[in-house]
Amino acid sequence: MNDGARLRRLCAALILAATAVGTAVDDAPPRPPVMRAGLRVLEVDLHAHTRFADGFLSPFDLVIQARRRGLDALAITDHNILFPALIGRWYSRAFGGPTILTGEEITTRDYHVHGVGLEERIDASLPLDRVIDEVHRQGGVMIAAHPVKRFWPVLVPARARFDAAEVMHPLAFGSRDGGWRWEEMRDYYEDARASGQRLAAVASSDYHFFSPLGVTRTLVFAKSDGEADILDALRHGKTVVHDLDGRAYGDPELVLALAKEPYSMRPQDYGYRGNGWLDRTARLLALAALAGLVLFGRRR
Amino acid sequence: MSGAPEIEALADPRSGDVARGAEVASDAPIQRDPWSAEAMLLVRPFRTYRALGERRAERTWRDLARGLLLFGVLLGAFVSLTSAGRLVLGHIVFTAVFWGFLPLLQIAAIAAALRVTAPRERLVPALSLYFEGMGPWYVFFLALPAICLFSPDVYGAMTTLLRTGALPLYMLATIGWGAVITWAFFREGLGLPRRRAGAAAAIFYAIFVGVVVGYYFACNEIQPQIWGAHE
Repeated sequence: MNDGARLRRLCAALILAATAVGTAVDDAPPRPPVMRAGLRVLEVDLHAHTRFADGFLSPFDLVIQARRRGLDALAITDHNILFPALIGRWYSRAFGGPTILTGEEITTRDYHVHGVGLEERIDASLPLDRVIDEVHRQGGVMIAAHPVKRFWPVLVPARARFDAAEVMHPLAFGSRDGGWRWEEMRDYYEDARASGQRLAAVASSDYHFFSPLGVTRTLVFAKSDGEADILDALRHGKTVVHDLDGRAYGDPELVLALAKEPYSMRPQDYGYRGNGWLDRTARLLALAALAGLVLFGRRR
Repeated sequence: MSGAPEIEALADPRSGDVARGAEVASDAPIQRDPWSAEAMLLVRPFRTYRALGERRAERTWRDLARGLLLFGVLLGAFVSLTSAGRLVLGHIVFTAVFWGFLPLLQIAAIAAALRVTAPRERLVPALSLYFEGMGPWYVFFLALPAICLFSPDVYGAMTTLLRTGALPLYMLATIGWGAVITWAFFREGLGLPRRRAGAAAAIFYAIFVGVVVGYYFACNEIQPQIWGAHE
């Protein structure tokens, strides 16, 4: 065995060690039930993608990531397909994880909307009215996904038929190229409330890759963390979300309840620093050993 | 690394003599540097593939399995490090499984390309040779986690890399250098004449890109975004 082969074996052993440490310390925050206004407060992300669309993670990985982020429920909403959400729900039920809501982001040139709580795929080529009919026929919840001005010509006339709208989104951290502005999403929601429509406020991370699943999340006030109760709460507007300035949107009574008895979100660490010296060392070791695995070896 | 020749000498193990260029085809060459085929192909694709290709008949299923395993580990580690920040067994395994279509698709595309352009070429040695040319992607799989692990502000760093076009450019460079290595694989690794190598590369990319784009079309993920909903 030459030096390259020896070094590669050493790197492989280090990767195994780093994986053992990484897997051992990769725990999820506890999720004790918290009650407000007689209902359970749930931290929910209602917008995430898998590798079957334009994300990195498989549905299984997404469930693991949601558990790691301390989410009580997650809606998997790939573009124009439903099966990744069904796979994710199966995994979470079988192996433990947050409640998975099966969704689809119906994505067209003129609008993006979410159907959440679906059992059958919805054809994105249908006109919006028929999409809404189909979501409601399946008992699902209709959500306006990042309703920025570009989509208003279609989404504003249909607003009365929606159950919820995204108010908070990672767009709030900085406008996206192409002119999508977070303020427009907020205005879409506030215009609805001003006209008396009871639209549930939703915060979603629109997760595709890297760490920030749940970086903006919805507080859902439900009877339990079961799918049916979460969907019911969304349908009845039992949500509160906060923007980056701490301003609350959602059901006024629930906003008041939170003002009286504040709720602290679970600790969220979206960085990559790690916890404690062992975790940090294992992370750096892993990267170095992976590089070694690529660089060293015996050429045949 | 740049100064190290691919195979410095061939040795006769019975005498211990080093005989550069000697015809001792049945004996293993002595490799005097520690660098892997992936690393050498990354910096000298044509010369390295020429040297590796001359001995490809000795390659077996084991070599192919090793290449596939390396690909799976690197891809799984990439997803694990960028999502969890650490190596987690579940992420590595699930990523390897759920992204397994990538190597399978490459195998199918290489097999189809060789069937047309070099039908006598043995598939397993050729495939194992091909999978040693994934270096640009391995660097990509390591570079992004490195930014995540070392950047004090990951979101800021990624946003800057995206807005300045550095990340898309790096992605393009990875694809471009990967294409050069693929060309070197057909041309030097398998020793195909220029036209046949060109045809093989064209068939390979047509199948690979065609199937990926075809999947998105088959799932109706693209059409409504271009043409909108039906009225």
